[in-house]
Amino acid sequence: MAPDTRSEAEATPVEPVRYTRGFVAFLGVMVLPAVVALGVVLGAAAVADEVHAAEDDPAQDVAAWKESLVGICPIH
Amino acid sequence: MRGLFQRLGAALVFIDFRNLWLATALAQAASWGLIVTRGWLIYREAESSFLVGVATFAAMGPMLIVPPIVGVLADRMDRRLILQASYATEVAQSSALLLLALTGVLEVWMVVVASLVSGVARAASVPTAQATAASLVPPERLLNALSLTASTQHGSRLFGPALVTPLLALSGAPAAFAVSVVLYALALHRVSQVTPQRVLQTGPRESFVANFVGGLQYVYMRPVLRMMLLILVCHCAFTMAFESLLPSFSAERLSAPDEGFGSLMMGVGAGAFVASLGVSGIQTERRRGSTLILTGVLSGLGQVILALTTALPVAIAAAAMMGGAQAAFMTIGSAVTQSIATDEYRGRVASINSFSLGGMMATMNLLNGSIAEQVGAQPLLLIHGAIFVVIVGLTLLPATGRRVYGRTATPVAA
Repeated sequence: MAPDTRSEAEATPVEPVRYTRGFVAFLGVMVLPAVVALGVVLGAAAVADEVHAAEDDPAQDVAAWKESLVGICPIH
Repeated sequence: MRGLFQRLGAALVFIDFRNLWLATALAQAASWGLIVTRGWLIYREAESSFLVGVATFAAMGPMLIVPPIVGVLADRMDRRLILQASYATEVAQSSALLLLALTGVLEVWMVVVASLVSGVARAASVPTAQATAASLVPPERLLNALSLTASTQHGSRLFGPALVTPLLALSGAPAAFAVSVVLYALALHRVSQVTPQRVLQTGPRESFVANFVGGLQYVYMRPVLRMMLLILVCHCAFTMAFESLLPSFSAERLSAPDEGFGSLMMGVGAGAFVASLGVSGIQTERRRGSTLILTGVLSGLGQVILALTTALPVAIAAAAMMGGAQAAFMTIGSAVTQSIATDEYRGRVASINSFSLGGMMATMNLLNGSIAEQVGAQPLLLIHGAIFVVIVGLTLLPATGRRVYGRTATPVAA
């Protein structure tokens, strides 16, 4: 078989999106990190007041996941 | 010497690219000047590092949201128009800051809102400029064009703050805001000289989400493009998410809590500037591939050396090597992806670059920061650097990986 000398751009025609397992995994790798980063920052913003209030007043109780979220986020 | 300049600036002979490059350089300098000015102003007014962090996040956060939208737009409409709109927005927000500062009514929340507006405009202009550059120069000049843009980006981190810092000390924020207004206005003028960049549309119009997912499918269906992007994602995950580690590394390992972090970051910046300028002279695909392998290995190795040393001068040298290798690797990686993509997908490919790589760096910085509190920064730097060197080696094994590094006869560029 002769070697494929076409460029990669020409080699594969554009097709309708098919959600194969490989494509879904690829989608996850490319999209999830940004979603996670946004989720952490926005989530921490939502619970930061509650966590900081609990830090100032030990009588107040706050869920551990809220403390962790605020702990991970660099701007909270 | 003249020959060297001609080789390093080979893409600048194309007038449209020269105008785009100048516009990008002016806007980047203005942007870094503004970041310093806003931080200085907020800290002086509120004495709060937290609020400085909020303003910086407001400026950087849109990089995680805006690129997917702009990438689709950049493949549908005139890219020059997007750049003009971005720079006009920057002129408007920095002019508003200037007027508010001059009239004495500027408050911290207004600066944060301006940071957000500026962040959105910047997140729109960066991938659009990358996609535009690829269509303004022939494929053999693309690496040179992107390297010049990257070196400008790194250089502006030094030039922008250097321009505004004396003004802040001498006459306060209004003069620094005025400099940003002028730089953005000049950028707008320059980008308006570029020939309109309309993309030839083939196929039916789809929704934004369908268009963006279509861009990801386009990447997924092209093995070399997919492999290159996955290598870049790994590079961002293992070698470029170091900012959250360096402060504690400086304090614990180098015993230099005050000057260590700043010195290491300067080393990274200086290395990045020199290296991204250096790769602009690369002219052949094979040399581009060899440099990609070398800088990939040095990127991981620099981090390993940094982790192993306890002497600040050696750490600064390792940081410079790491910064230089990272910048060169990312620049060549962008050139490979843009040279493979056809023009109707370049906006989306550039936006996937910004969105996915920025997202991975942000997430890994968050993770590294919290893991380092348990195990310390040194083991993380060491292990991550070593992992990336192994990844570079492993990607040379399959035929697709060798094509990424220009190790087969089959051409990669379109």
